[in-house]
Amino acid sequence: MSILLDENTRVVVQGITGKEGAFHTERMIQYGTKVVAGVSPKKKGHYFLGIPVFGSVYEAVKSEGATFSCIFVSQAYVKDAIFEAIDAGIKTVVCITEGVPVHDMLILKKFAKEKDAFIIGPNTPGVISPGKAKVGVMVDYIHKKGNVGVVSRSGTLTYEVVSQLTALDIGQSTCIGIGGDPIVGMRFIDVLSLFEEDEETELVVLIGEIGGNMEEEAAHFYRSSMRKPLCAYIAGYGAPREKRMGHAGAIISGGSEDAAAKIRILEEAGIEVVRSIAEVGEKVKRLLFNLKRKSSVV
Amino acid sequence: MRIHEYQAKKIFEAYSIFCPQGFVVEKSNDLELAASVLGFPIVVKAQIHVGGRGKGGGIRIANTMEELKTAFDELFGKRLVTEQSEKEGKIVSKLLFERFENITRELYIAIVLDREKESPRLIAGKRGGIEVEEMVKKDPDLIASEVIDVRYGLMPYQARKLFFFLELDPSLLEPFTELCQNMYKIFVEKECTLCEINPLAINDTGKFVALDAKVILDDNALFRHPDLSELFDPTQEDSKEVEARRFGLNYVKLKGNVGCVANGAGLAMATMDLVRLSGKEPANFLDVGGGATREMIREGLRIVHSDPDVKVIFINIFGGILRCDTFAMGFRDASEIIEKPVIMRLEGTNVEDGMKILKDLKIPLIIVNDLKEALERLKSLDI
Repeated sequence: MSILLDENTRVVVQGITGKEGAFHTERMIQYGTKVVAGVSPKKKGHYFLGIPVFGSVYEAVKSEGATFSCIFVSQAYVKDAIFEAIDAGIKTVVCITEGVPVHDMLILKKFAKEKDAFIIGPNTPGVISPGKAKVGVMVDYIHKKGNVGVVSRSGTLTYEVVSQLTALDIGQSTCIGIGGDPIVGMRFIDVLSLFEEDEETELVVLIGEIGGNMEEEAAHFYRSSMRKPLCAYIAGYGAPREKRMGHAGAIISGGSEDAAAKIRILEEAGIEVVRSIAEVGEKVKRLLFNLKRKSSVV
Repeated sequence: MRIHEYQAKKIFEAYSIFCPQGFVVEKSNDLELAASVLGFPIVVKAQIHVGGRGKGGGIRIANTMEELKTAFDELFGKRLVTEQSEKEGKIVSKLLFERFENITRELYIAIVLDREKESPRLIAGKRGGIEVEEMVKKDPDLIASEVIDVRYGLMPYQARKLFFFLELDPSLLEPFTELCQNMYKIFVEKECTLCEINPLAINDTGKFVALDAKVILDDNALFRHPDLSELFDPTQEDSKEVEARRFGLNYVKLKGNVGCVANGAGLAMATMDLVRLSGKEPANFLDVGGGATREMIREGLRIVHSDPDVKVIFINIFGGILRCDTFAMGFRDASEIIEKPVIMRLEGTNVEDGMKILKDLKIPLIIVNDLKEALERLKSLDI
């Protein structure tokens, strides 16, 4: 098992004929993802890489049984695209687009909750279950199939951590970028609860950063509801207040939003926090070793 | 995006929120006119994008023409340093002159984006003039708030709840509800992440007055608001940050002397953290982004290199969508101007091609194989 997607997940790409959409759809297919439909209202009726292109998500769902969407449309059209996908019955939407207006996200989140749908992103590299499927734009060759779940607010930092894991021969069950915007669809706790239920995942790596309180929420969730070990890294130590550190969401506006406060809260909950990004891989290796030892004693 | 107080007040007035009568002054010959219209005493307020103006001497009361001239001369065109500003302060290129209001009470009111609840939140405080966080710390009983459901908007009963909490005169019930509704309208229509009146005063005629106004706009929504985009004031930003943004780069000036360059915001932050772990301090944060071009890389490196505080540059690239050979070409283009030592970690897509490009460059370049080695190198630096 893996969370959110596997080799049978039927994916529709909204904006399949755009530059980014076309490029990454091809890569997703190469990786083994079942891309069954595309949506591009102006190219309705065409085929792209042998995939039928529809005028609406509704048609893609009806005709091809798509359940999972990947969105490549510009920021002005994201709100409409996500509404359309969820209204058509899509249960998981990955939104690659960066810089979606916050007020659009506020409304989209209410809608998604009403319809029991997940939004991943915006501003996410996507989600990958190594060896099975990927939906998004992430570098895939660094991944290896395995038992560590990775959830992160940052794309490049995910690559960094995944490559350290793979170099140490530690594979991943699923890796998810939840996005670097202030308001994102799935929060850390949503992903953690899926990992906790997933039989294949033995340990989870959480990559957080300054700004907001999702890491604090994760700490409370870990304490109350998680049995699996969690290893965390928080980026942005020493970032100044009220300065946006690249991501729109990485901005410290309250005292509990800086890295030091987040690290303290995570550690108080019993989570292993790694201070140096260079040591995340090795820390995970030690934790996995301890886990095996413990289970062999039992 | 932050905007000035006088700009925020213009928006407030358009939404029927009462602000003291005022003038924006940008040259000394405006003083006479302003004085004749407003009458003394006049409140002089430096327009800068940073808090703590009052304590920093950026807000003065002038009782005579003489005092008005002095206040103008001491503030206008100068750099104002406050508790919250950088050490060099912010340039004052505009002053706001306002009619003095006789007030009977000061309150706090704001609509903020609550990231935890993923909703706007209306906050009211029994005291004005101090930061809401301070107020929460000192005495949480001074603050009450209501979460707003964006599907339905701010309900009048929610405003009433806060009104009763503030224990105001019953005659103010309707004006207060209206004020809250108007603020919410601004918050939604202008796509704010913060809309704050602090202090909100009640004047001696029993009217609400917005003595100060703070509005923060969502940068990502500015494409829908060309009129608001025009309110951007580049004089309030670090000039290199503005320049970097022009090239589509994220650059933040920091206090140390190690220049930090990475691709992706997360990796750039982690790179900055690594520098601090080595006992050094980052001079900046530069994220060239995922889709960086050769030109963007060259310009980014030029901006970092031109910072006189930078003694050494630490580059940390994990090529994904950005290919290592593209980065290396941008670096080679920039190498003509690079004189400061560079420590580089290059990994990811097309890394071999990238390394070939870097091989023959005649500049002080140290290539490290991984982040551990980078950390050791940084530790051993004598800067």
